[in-house]
Amino acid sequence: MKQYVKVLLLLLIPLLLVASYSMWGGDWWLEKADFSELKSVIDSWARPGGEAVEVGADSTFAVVEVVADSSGSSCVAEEEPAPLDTANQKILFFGDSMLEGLSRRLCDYAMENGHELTSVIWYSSTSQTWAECDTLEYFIKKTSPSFMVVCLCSNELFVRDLTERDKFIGRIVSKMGDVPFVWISPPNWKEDTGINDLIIKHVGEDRYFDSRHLELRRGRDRVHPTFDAAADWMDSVAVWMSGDSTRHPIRMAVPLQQRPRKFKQILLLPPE
Amino acid sequence: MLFTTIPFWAMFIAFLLVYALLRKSTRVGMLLYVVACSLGFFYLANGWLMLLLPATALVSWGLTWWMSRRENGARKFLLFLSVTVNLAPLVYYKYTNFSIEVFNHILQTNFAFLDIALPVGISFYTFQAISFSTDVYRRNFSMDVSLLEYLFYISFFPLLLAGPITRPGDFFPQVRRRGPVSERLLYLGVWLVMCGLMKKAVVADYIAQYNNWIFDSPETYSGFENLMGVLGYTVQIYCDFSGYSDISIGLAALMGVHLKDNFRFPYQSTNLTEFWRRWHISLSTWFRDYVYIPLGGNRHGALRTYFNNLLTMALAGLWHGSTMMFVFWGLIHGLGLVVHKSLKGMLDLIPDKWPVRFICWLVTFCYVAVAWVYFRSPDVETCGDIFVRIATDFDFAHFLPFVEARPMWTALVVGALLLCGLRESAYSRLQTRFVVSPWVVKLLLFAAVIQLVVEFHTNNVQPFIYYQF
Repeated sequence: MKQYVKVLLLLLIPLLLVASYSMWGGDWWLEKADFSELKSVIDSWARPGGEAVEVGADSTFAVVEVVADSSGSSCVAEEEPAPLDTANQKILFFGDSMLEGLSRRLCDYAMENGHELTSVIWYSSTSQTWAECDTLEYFIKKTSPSFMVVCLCSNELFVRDLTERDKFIGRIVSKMGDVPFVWISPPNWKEDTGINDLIIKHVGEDRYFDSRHLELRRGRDRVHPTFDAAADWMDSVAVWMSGDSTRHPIRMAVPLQQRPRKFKQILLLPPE
Repeated sequence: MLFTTIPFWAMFIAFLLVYALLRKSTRVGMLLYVVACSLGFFYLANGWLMLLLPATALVSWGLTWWMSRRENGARKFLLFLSVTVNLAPLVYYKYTNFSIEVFNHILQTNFAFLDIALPVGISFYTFQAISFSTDVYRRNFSMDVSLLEYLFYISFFPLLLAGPITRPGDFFPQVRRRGPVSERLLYLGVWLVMCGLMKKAVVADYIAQYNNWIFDSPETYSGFENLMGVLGYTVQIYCDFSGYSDISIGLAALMGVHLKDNFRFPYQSTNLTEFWRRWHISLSTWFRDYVYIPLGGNRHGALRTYFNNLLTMALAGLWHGSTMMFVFWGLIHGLGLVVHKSLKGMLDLIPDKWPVRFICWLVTFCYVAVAWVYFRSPDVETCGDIFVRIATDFDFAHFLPFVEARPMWTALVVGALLLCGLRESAYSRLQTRFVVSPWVVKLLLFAAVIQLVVEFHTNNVQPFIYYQF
C-alpha cells in the first residue's frame, strides 16, 4: 500500500496544482484546462497601463499589439511584416463595374499562382447595394473563399450621406468575417467627398490599396480604365498584395505567359 | 472520455485509491469493482449500447466454457459458433452500411443507409474475445476462467476503447497473481503515461490542426505544403496511436498488469516486414495468428503465401474502417510485403552497409508515408489532389516562408522524427533512469509534462484516431 500512496501523491499533486492555478485565475476550466484568460491577465500586469493582447497560436497573420498609453490614445507598438501565405487561394472578387477590366488580369495572376478565381460583377452597385442584401453572403457560402478582393464605391465618389455610407461599409466588412481580404479603392477621376477615408477607417491601411494616385487611361466614358490600363492597375495591386505592407500577403507572381483565361465570372444586372 | 482530459485523471486517481485497498483485501471485490467501473466507463463512451458488451461476453464465455469440455466435431462447431456470436455485432454495426454501399454501387440500386452508430471499442474487445475462444480451442490457454474474470478481461477499461489487443495467456496469470504490485511496475506505468501524454496531447494534437487543413482541401495548398501535410500526418498517427497505447499500458501497469509493447520505433524499419513487426504489434500478431496462419501462411508455396499476405492485409485494412480507402491502404501494404518477400533472396545478397541501410529506410519510410495518405484521405479524389499538388506545384522556395509561418509545427515534427530514431537501448536506459530516480524528481518531471500538456492544449481536442476503429 505504501508504494500506491507514493504513486497516488505523484499523480495527485500536479493535478491539484493545475486545479488551484486555474481557480486562482478565476477561470475554472477543468474540462479543457484553458488558461488563456489567465495569461491575458498576467500579460496586462506585466505591462502597466496596457491592455491584454490577443495572440494567435499558429497564425500566419502578423500580430499587431495595440497598447494604450496613460493618456488613453493608441499607437502601434510592434508590427512585424506578415509572412507570405504560400497556399493556393480560392479568391472571391466582387464589386462594381470596375471589375470588368481588373478580373481579366487577376485571372492571369490566379492561373499563374495556382489560385482559383470567382468574380462577381454587379454593375452600378454601391456599398448600400451590397450591404442591404444577402448577395455577398450567398457567394461566400457558395464559393467558400480563402481570400477576397473588393473593388467598390466607384459610384459613390461624390456622395454626401457619409454617415450612412459609413454603416454600409462597416456591414460589408463584417459580412466578410474572418476571411482575409483586400479592398481596392476606386480609381478617382476627381477628388472624392470622403468615401476613401471611410474605407480606410474600416479596413485599415494594410488592407486598402490606394488607387487615387494612379494615372490610368480611361475609356470612352472617361470613367472606366481601358483594359490595358486596368491590367496595369491590377499589376500594381498584385505587387502590393504579395508585399510586406499588406496584412495577409499571398502569392502573386507575375504571369509569364499569356494563357486562355479560365475563371468563373458572374454578372449581375444593375440594381433597380 | 479521453485519457488526456483532467476529469478522467481526477476519476482515475479516486478509482486507484479504492482499487489499491480492494486489491489488498479482497480479490473478488476488486474484480467486481473494476468490472463495474469499466462498464461505467464504457457507458460514458457508448450510452446504453454498453449492454452489448456484457451480453456478448456472457454468450461467448458460455460457449467457450462448453467447448473446452468437448472434443472433435462438437469442439470445432462450438468454436465456430463462439466466433460467429462475437463477430455478429461487429459486422452489423461496422459493415452493414458499407455492404449497402457496395451493393448499391454494383447493382446500381438505391437502398437507404441504416442509422447505425458504431460502438466505440467494439473492434478491440471482439478480437480479444475471439482470441480467448481460439486459444482455448487450440489448447494454447488452459486456465479455467470464471465469468467474473472473463468480464474483467473483456471490459478492462485501459484496453477497452482502442487496445492493445491482449491475449488471455498474457493477461490472466497476472490477474491471479497475489501479492503487492512492485514499485518498479508502478513507476513504469507513470513513465508510460508521461510519454503517452507528450506524444498525444503535445505533439499529435498540435500538428493535427495543420494536417487537417491539408487533408480537408489539398487543392488550396501548394505542393510543398501538401508534402508537409503528408509528413505531418505520418508523425501524427504514430504519436497519436503509440501515445494512446503508452497511456493504456501505463494505466494497466498502475493496476499491476504488465502488458507487452504495442510499438517498437516502427519508423526505424528498413523494410515493410520489419515495419509490421514494430507497428501496432498486438493487431499485426493477431492477424498473423488468427488469419494468416489459418489461411495457410507460407506453407503452400510462394504464390499462396503472396495471396495470403494480400488477403490478410486487405482484411486488416477493412478492420480499420468500412470504406474502400482502408482496403486500398491494406492492399498497398500487402503489395509491399509481397514485393519484399519475393525479392528477399536478392536483397539479402546486398552487403549490409550503412548507405544501403539508409536507402532501405528511406524507401520504407516514403512507402509507409504514401500509404498513410490513403488511410487519412476521405476519398480517392483527395488522395489524387494531394499527389498531383506535390508532383506539379512543388517549390523549395516555400520552405522558409513555411517555417516562418509555422515554427512550432516544424519544431514538433522534426523533434518527433528525431526521437523516432532513438535507439531502443537508449530509450530503455532513460526509462530505467526514471524508475530509479528519487520521488521528487519524478514529481517534478510529471508536473512539467502536465504543464506542457496544458500549454499545448488546443480548444479543439482531437479524439484518439484509433477510437473510430
